Amino acid sequence: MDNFFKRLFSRQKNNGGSKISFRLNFIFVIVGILFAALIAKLAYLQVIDGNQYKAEVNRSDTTIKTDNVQRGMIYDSTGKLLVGNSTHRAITYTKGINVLPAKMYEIANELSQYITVPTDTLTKRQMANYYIASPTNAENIKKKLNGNYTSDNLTEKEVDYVLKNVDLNNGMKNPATIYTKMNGAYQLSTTYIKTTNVSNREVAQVGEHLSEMPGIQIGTSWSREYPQGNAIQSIIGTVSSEKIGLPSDRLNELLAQGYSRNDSVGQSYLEQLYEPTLKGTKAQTQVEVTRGTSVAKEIKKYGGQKGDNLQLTINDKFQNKLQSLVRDSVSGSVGDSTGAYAVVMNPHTGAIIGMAGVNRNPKTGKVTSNELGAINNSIVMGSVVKGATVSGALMDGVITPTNNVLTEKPIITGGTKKTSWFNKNGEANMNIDASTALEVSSNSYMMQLAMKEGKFKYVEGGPLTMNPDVFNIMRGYFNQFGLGVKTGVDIPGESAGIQGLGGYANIGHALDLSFGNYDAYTTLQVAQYISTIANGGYRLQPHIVQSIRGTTANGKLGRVKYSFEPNVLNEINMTQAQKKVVTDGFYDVVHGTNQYKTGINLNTIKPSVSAKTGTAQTYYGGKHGTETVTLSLGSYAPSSDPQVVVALAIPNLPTDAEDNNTNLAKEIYAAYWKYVQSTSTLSNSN
Amino acid sequence: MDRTNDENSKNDKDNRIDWGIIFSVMLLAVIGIASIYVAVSHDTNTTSVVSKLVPQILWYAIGAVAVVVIMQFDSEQLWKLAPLAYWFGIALLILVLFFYSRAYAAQTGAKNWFAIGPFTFQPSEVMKPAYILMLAKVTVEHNDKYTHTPRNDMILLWHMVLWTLPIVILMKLQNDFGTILVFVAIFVGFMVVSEMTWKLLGPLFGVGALVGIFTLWLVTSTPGRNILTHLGFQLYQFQRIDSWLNPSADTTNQGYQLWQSIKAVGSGGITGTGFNVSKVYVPVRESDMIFSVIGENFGFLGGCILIFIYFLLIYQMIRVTFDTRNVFYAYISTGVIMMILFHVFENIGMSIGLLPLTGIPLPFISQGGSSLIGNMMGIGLIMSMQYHNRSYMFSRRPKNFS
Repeated sequence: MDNFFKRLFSRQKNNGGSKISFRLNFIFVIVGILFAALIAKLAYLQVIDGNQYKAEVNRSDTTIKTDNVQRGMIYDSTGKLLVGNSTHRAITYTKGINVLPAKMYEIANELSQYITVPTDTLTKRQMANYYIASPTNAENIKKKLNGNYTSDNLTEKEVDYVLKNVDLNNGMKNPATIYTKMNGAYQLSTTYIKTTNVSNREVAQVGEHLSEMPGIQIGTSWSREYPQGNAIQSIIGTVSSEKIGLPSDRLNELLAQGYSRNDSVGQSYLEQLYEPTLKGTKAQTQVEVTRGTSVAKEIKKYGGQKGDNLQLTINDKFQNKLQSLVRDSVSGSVGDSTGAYAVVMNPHTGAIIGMAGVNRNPKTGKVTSNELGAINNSIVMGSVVKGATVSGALMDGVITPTNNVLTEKPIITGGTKKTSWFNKNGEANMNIDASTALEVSSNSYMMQLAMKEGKFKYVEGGPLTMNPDVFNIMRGYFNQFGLGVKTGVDIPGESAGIQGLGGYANIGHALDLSFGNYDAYTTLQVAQYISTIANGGYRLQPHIVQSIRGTTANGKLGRVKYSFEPNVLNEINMTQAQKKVVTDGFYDVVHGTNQYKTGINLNTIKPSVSAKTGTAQTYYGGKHGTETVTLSLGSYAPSSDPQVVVALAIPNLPTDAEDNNTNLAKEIYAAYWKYVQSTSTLSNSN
Repeated sequence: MDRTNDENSKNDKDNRIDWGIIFSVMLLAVIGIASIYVAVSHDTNTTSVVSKLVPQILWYAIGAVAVVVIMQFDSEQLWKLAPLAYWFGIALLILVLFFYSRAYAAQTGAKNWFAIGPFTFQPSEVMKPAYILMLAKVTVEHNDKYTHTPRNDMILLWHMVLWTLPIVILMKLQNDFGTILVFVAIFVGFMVVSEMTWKLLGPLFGVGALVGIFTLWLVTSTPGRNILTHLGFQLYQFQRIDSWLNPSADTTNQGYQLWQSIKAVGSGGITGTGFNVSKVYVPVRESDMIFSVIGENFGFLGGCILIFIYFLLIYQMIRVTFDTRNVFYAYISTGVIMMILFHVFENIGMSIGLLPLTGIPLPFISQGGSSLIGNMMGIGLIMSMQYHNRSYMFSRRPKNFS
């Protein structure tokens, strides 16, 4: 044996020895090459790309976590709360960094023992996703799939398999809903698991087990509440609930702005327009994540700021009354009436004090609220526009304050006869001045103004070969008052009105345009136009938000941060004498002496009202439908020192309707002086 | 052993112990403990740093004892011990298939750990030195009988394969692919150093290289993957390759660990962030990903120094082997060198994105007792060479054995 070993261990003396030496050196060289490869790669990583990785690390080692704040509230002009927030206890989840589905599955299962969430929105697919979040389930299904998948479509295949083969029972619904919510969260953003009806027991049980469920917290959620009733939503708009999340059509835009998927966001009207003001600033916490999936250090950077409050120009009490008056105006025997709309505005500031509207279904008679119909429903208003027609003619120079008498008579061109309502066959032909033309609402006078502006010499019975530029000339003047252009109101979605076709083929309609029977305008446009006349020629931007205000320590309406100043959009270039022609005419509509004055019904109102009525020949159901009339009114009061403008329109009344507009106006003025402004504040009432 | 030279005998004890190797290993141990300290103190929330470091220091002590014990065996005893150690290792590998740690397997999918209370142990680590011993014995026996012709070397190769196959099968059953590669590396080392003729090695390595390149093509290219899919491979098995090829692409799941590691190492720059300054979290960096700590804290310079220490260690092992001039020992040290080389290369390589991820620890540095013991056993084998065989070196005995 000994000999064997000696023989064995002595081979180095043979040729083999040098061979081994060579082979050992060979291995040693390999060692050197491999280590050199390591060093080369290290050099590449650390020396060449080092700074890049340093930057990458410095970028990602701290992250900002945000927490929701209460949304700003909305008050009426008197400080009454219109839109508030109700506070709920909520169970929230803040997703950590790189939290894997398996971990969320675990937490969801534990949490589902303590709380019950509504499961009605849960889909089968979400349940399947929950099911495969369990590593055991996923592994089993993976085996069953038999390799029949790629890394890209694995989840999809697994879900399909679960949907087909696994009994997803009702017991899974609660944890699956919780899991779905957790899974939907972005890392380091807080999502609500349960926001409403969180019971004391649930809070207690979750509280006890918080430490076992990383990321779960007991927090607060807010939802919009409407102490004065939901009706105001139709002007103010709505916010998306955290349950529904961000509106899908604006999802990407909002995510880019830093919203979380389940944030509340203004969806319409004021809530949407003033979103940046109302949403406030989220609390920001800087999170250092040096320990990977767990949060190492949290530094509160910014405590968050509750959204600022809006104070509206609307007076809630008056608004409610206005809405009910408007609603009542289309009840009873109103034929094919399709609704009624009214705007009450301060002519000196553009503040909208009330805005009401209803739609009526002529077939069923059902009346539904549509306050915004006043800004988005274009109506052929009729004679109410004549103040603008006369103003236009004065500016155009075709009449002057001292030379404006024309003969009221039927206008016959090319076989078509167009007349004033009181002078259908020339039985009431008379010479009238511009103010009187307004007082009696002479269509003939307006048509003659239009033809003068169109440089057309009227010959009775002759063809109307007028230059179609007259459309542009008249509309240009109308636009200066706000008719046919956007008013600029701070509510999204207003209409600019509807223009009839121009051009020579429609030249006959140029005459209709002059007395308001061609283009369609919104009620708010009428209000702006009347305001412009009432305040002496300033077209003001109407607005519904008066000021942006903070919140006091005790939660009340705080200091004014921003107040809307009257915004003059354009000024009418008319002399005092020219303006007086129009205002006199408006005054005479109510208080004049001519037998044909149209606003006599309003002369009982104190303080006195100046107005222009409107009656348009309209058709319900198209040109061949039922013949109807649309009654409208533009008015202001007191006549000598206008404080308030009331504009209204009631389209498609029966052809015999006469006083619906003035009756409604009477009641609106009564309500205004009762709820908004006391007549005793007026310097002189006449 | 007889010592005839008085000149050498006075510092005989000193010379019989290779202080260079001990110094290298101790350096690595210090680096290891410091790195584990950094990893643990940054990652642990609940348990104290001490409770993680003390066991590791204890393992070093146990490892040192293992070195001393194994040093006592001379080549003859090791020769006799080889089959015993081999079969003992195989028995452990079979046992672990039944008594593997359920918790660990659930985490990693590998059934390769025993867990008895807080004590965990990976039998494949012990299998490595045992396998080296056995392969050395097989090779020596073969080479004693046969000359090196391609035909004879085929017989040797066949024998080596026979002794390797059970381990590979068992490791496959444990689902521990990384460790299989270690055994393959040792096997290849033996092929080279067993004096097999290049007439056999040349074609074999040539074919091996071609197969390797072809495999690389199969797993990295779309047509290749289509072929593999038809052969029954499942696409999720390519995820590891994908994250290796493009570490920053998917940093949430598979690629997260690698991407974090690359960021950590890369952000270390040339000089590092300094001791115990870590901004990047890398999962399991106290064990398999320990190099990310060194790379981050000590930068390119630190990484080079570490690689240089390993290089020095391997150099010393080869020097001892040359000094010893013993074929059996030469094979053993080749095995140990290949084992350490592969561990170092694969571990550092995977930490910096050079190689795909496998569960291979960094020798003498990564946290974990059994791998340390396995490596220390290897060191023990090397130390035993010098301890017992200096006499061969310095004896003036004639060395011509026929």
